Amino acid sequence: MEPSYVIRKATKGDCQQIVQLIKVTLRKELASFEKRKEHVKMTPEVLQRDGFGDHPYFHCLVAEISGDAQATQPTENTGGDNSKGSDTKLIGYALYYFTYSTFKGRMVYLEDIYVCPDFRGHGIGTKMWKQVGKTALDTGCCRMQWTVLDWNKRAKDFYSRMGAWDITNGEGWHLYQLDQKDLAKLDQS
Amino acid sequence: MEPSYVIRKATKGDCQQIVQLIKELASFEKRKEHVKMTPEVLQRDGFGDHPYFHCLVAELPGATQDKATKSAEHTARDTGKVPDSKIIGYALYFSSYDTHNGRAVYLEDIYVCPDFRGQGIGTKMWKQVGKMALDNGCCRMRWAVLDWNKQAIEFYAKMGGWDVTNGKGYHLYQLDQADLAKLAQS
Repeated sequence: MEPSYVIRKATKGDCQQIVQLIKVTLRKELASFEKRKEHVKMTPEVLQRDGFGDHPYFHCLVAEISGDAQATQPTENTGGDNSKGSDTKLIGYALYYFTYSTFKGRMVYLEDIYVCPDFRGHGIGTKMWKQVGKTALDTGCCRMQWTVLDWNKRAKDFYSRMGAWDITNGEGWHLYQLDQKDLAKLDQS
Repeated sequence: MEPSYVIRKATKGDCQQIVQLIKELASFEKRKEHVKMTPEVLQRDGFGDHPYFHCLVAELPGATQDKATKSAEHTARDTGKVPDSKIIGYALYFSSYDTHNGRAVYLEDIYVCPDFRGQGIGTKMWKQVGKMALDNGCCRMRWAVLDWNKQAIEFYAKMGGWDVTNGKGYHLYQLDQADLAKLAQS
């Protein structure tokens, strides 16, 4: 039987489960970097502080399955704590934020999109993707951007199906970074 | 004598000059036809209750006739008056988020007019954005650079930046507005 699920805006109460899903995505990335020593510093408290205040740093959708196989329309959770005695479970999320192009204006950047492997193939990722895309359009955004690891063939196929293109290969854009410790050195120089 | 300059937060009134500099940067990147930005849009998006970006400007107090750049000439032609001060650089950035490490900053543009380079203006703006990132608890600063832009690549290496695309294999992907619309209808 097809699992029934809803896609809705994340609430504060979802943060514990979202952090668990974030940890899974890092383990997948680390698979290709054997010598990297990284761990997820994110905690539910930090995610709550940064995503659910007056000026959120991000927005998040979650895909939730319930024990009720008849659930149809997405309904918004008004702040209940999903971790206490609930028979619902988060099986995916899409975290994004607004960015800006000085050439064209407002943009959306999709930081993470993830669906638990057991629940793939049912269009959940596609549905979350479309919802973020609709938000981008409704907010007057000129485009949506994100990054993908060059070895992630499954993700690249998914994105191509959605109409996306690789601007690193296509236009020569490289992403650069200054880590926190080097920001600190810069500050002292 | 070195001309004096100040680096300060941009205001609404700077938007006309900032857009001129955006167009200069776009010309250098060979993408001038892509610029749709106007001062009104920049004002709306950067100076409301929930700004989409923050911006620093480097300003020369008083018009400098002997070092007039194309920016000043355009502004004078458009407004009919020579500005009292002139913006000769800007750094536009916004908050972003790393789900593993938290708050981050993304530097969208940093630009100094060619006539005013070599004085440390770009470095000073860079450090100021970096300081704000640190003070705000950010885990990193990111930005993008075109692979042929040797001058920028050298500047970023001097500032301690590293190439995440070459180093980690990250490619930037994009879905343009026309395809977002198709997706919404599908």
